[in-house]
Parts: sequence; C-alpha cells; structure tokens
Amino acid sequence: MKQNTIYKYQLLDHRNGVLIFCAIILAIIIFIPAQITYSEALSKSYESTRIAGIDMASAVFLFICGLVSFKECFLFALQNGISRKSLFKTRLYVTVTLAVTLTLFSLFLLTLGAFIEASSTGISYSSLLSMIYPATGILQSSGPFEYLNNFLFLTVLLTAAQALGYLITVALYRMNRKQKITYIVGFYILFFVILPVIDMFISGQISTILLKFLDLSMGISAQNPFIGMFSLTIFAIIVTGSTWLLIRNAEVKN
Amino acid sequence: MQINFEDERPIFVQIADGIEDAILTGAFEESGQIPSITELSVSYKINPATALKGISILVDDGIIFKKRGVGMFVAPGAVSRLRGKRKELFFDHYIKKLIEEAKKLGITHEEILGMVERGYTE
Amino acid sequence: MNGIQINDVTKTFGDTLALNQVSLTFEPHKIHGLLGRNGAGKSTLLNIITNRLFADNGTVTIDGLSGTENDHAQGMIYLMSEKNLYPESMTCNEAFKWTKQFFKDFDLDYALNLARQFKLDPKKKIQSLSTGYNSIFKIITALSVNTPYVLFDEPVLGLDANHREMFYRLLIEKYSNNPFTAIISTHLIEEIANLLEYVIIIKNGEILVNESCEALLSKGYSVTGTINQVDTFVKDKEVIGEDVLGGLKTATVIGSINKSTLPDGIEIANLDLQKLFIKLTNEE
Repeated sequence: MKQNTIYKYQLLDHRNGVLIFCAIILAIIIFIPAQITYSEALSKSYESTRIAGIDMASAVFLFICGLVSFKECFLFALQNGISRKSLFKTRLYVTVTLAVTLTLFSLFLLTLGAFIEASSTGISYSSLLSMIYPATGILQSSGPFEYLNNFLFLTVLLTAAQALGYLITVALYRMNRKQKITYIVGFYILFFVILPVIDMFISGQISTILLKFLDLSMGISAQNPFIGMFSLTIFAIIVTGSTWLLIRNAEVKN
Repeated sequence: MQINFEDERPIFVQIADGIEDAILTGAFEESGQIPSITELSVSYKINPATALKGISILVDDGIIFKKRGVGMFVAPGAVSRLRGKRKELFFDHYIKKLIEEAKKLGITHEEILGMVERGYTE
Repeated sequence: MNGIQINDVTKTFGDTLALNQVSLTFEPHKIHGLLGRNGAGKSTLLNIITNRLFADNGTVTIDGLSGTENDHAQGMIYLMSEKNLYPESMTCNEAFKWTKQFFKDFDLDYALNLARQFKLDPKKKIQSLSTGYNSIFKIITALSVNTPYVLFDEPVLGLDANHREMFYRLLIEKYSNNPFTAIISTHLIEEIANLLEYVIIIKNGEILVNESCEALLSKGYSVTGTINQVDTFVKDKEVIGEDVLGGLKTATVIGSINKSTLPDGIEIANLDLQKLFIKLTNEE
C-alpha cells in the first residue's frame, strides 16, 4: 500500500507538467499548419513545409522531468518510512509510465500529422523515427507497423532520457558543494574546451570517432532502428544501475 | 492540591496525599467521582504511570474504588477511615515532635496544655 | 512488542565521531527522554533509527525487525524531525492527506481538530510557516499518526509557553488513552521531567545515563544549609555539584540518605533532573 502511495505521489508530481507540455505541443501542431494554410491562402503562393521530429521535445521534456524529481521525493519518502529500495523501484514504474504516456501522445500526433498532411497542401509531418531512419527496409512507412515501431522506439528513448536526467540529479545530490562545482565545471571544460581543442589538433579524429560510434550504436548507416533501440536499452540499464548504486547509500543531509 | 517537585516525598505519594486532603476537606465527597488518571496527569504534567501509582495506594487502602468504564469514586466511609489513619499519623508527625521540641526549650507539660488552649481560643 | 533496540551503533561524519558504539533499548509503551546538549548525537540517533542515516556499524531493530531499508518496520515509526522533509509547495492539508495514505491509522479528523485548537491554517504551505507553526504542524502530524512508536526531535522548538503547555497536555492525553512508545529529544528538560519514565542522557556520542527516571532521581539528593553545615555534612559523601548563594550552600549528593543523621538546619530535597543533567553534561 505504501509503495502504491509513493508511486502515486511521484506520478502526480509530474501531472501538471505533462498536461501543460502536451497542451503546448498540441497547440503548436495545430497552430502552425493553420497559420501556414491561412497565409498561403492569402498570398496564393504554396511552399512545402515539414514538421518533423517533434517527439524530440518529449525526450527533452522527460529528461528535465527526471532532472527535477529526486530530492523532494527522497526526503518525503523517508519522512513517511519508505525505503530507498521502494522509492527506486516505484521510480522505475513512474519512468515507464511517463515514457508510455508520452509515447502514446506521440502516436496520437502521428495520426494528427497524417490528417494534416492529407487535408493541406505542402505540409508534411514526420516522426523522429522516420527522420532518423528514412530509408529503412524493415520499417514500413505506414500502417500498424509504423505505429508499433514508433511505440517501441519512443518508449525506449523516453525511458533512457528520463533515466539520464534522474542519474544526474541523484549524482548531484550525493555530491557536496565542492564536488558539484568541480564536476559541473570539469564537464564543461572537458567537452567544450579540451576535447574540441585536441580534436582541432588531430584533425577531427575525436569527433569522427564519436560520430562513428553514434552512427554504429544507433544503426543509422545500417538504417536499422532495432540496433538503436537495443543500444538505448543497454544505455538505460547502465544509467539505471548506476543510479541505484548512488541511491542505495543516500542519506538525509543537514 | 499542589505538587511540589522539590518536596522530598515522591510525586506519586504527593498525589495520594493530595487526594486524601481533598477528601478530608470535602472537596471530593464520599461516593463522588474523582478526576481520572488522564485528568490528573494532564493537570500536573506527570506521567500517567506516576498518577496511577498514587491512585493505587488509595485503591489498596480502600479509600477509592474503580468502576470499570465509568471512573474512580471515593469509597463510602472513606472520610472516617482517613481520619483514623491521619490521627495515628498526627501523633507521630506532630505530637512527638512537639514534645521533643518542648523538652529542648524547657517547656513544661502544663505550659504546652496552656498553649493548646490558647491555640483554640485565638 | 520488543521496543527499539540499538546494538553497538557507531556513526561518523568525516572526522567527527557522532555516535560511539551506542547500545540501548527503548522500552515499549513508555515515554523516554533523550537528553543531551547540542551536537551530542541525539538527532543522529533518531535519524539512524528511522533509516534516514545509515550507521557505519551496528544494528537497529524495531519490534525485532531490522529497521534498515525496511518499509514494514518503518511503518511502525514516525519521527517529527527538526529538519523539514516535506516538499516545498505542499500545504498542511495535503500533507495530512498523504500521511493518511502512508500510515493507515492516521486520524485526519483529529489532526484537523488539533489544527483548529492551535489556530494553524491548514491551507498554508508548510514551508511558509514560522518556526513555531512549523513545529505545531509536525506535532499535530505526530500526535495524529497513531504508530506504535512516535519520535519527537525538539518538538517545542519556537513554541510559546501556551502552545508548549497544549502540547504536553495533548501528549499525556494521547498517551494515557492509548499508550505508545514515545521518545522525546529536548533541551527543555524541566518542563517534561515528570512526564518521563526513562531517561537517556547522551554526551559526545556516548550514553551517559540510561535508566528509569525514578531510579535515577532516587540515586541522590540535594542538601541546603549554611556553608559550614553543608560542608560538614557532605564530607566523605559523593558530591557531584555545589552552588553557593551568599552564605547558603546547596550540594548535590549521590547516595542514599539516612534521615536520622540529618543535622538541624539542613534541608534536603529530591534531585532535580535538569540540575542533574547540567552537572553530568558539563564539560569541566
């Protein structure tokens, strides 16, 4: 019963955020085509417009959700006799619940996009999946399989994004002020100063390797979304495992 | 009824003594209800176990009795029983000391009796 | 009901030894006073019992169950801590409702009734309350939660005399209607001395005193008289403290007293928990 309650508490914590997010995305999807159609009708000049990869916004949004959901819940859980183990377990359920919810929202947008495409001239809608894997043979560009593939891919992606945000916030909670500053500043210096500079001197080898790695792990050249899903799953598992190692010993700080 | 935490008597004894005094002065009447353990503990800010201990002395002495689910009552005949008990104590606590002190001061038997007479008339 | 057992618990924060091999038992259905000066380790101990901190060493059991990472065991305990662990935007009402979901015996009506008595507006956000009302909110929750173990860490912090009085009254009422195990950590000893059945005094992370209040206070007495009288009387007795006021001297003595040897002019009194505490925990 207590586990249900802390699950519910964490989920409710995101309810308003999710509702507002969905409302904004929906407004954009409806407003932009409407605006384009209206102005085109006035000017009588037709251009093609592409709305693509709006699912990425969900990934960013859920990353942020993960990023803000640890400290208060952790303290509240301990106040109410909930163990770290139960908090962590229910957090996983929350993560999957939110990922599936926003995935279903994306599928709804896909339907809406198809409807907009059909009822307007020159406006096309494409999902994140079909943007990354446009030429795939495995992927059917329409029909139930398109929905199924989108569902699997997005669920995994959104889970991974949240898990990453959660890991970062847990790690920051575990650090004292000095460590926090060191890590944050160190991260920026490493990725935005040192690596780019070295990269410059060795004629872009680092970025080449990184891009190659990204390409391989996401199966972009191979145009196989299942390689991407697999890699994202592995990534989410590693991130979640690391989070557990950090939560396991977390204490209330003074 | 007053509780003095610096008194050398333990608190539960003070509780018992205090209730006895109240019965003797008629503040608590025979067969009448007395405050519950909770009320006693609350008003003197003492642990209920302490209050219970004080009450138990009186229950054992037959001064008060408990009615399950109703409360605690002063036993009929409690006043006379208390008077008897207190009279014995009166001799020990007051008369013995009085005579001891009188001997120290060289007050004679007659003088004491005279003083007692005077005490009653004043 | 086995109470709460602390076995050989040690806790360090960096170089600071907060608790040093502490072992003790909190008896079921009794009111315990956990006394100690600031930084003695009271809060650390309470936080370890409630799984908010981990002991470096040693174990805590609640009714025989391990208290570490155990939802079931922790469901029997409520700690009102000095530090506020409720979310920033939560109102008192919301907190009551959530508490009801976490602790099934939480009495919502009673809580709201207490809120009225204390004039706490339950629609207010917890974080916006003054120190005193923050304590009141936590007191109300702790008194309404009805877990077998309720731990109070500095419950009367910032409370005025009237509200403190109300708290003590409610605590006794609650306790005598339905006895539970209470641990009260406080430095306002005088006010609760007579409520306590057990006294635990903790000093520099170690248990100095752990016994029933009655036994503790009957271990000694204090004598007051002229300096000469008192000095003569306490010769060859164990004196743990002395106060001189003008020509009058009070000595706190450990040991039992033989009243027949009491010289004239000397008054004896019971030990006073607060004074005893100060004597025992003084650094010199």
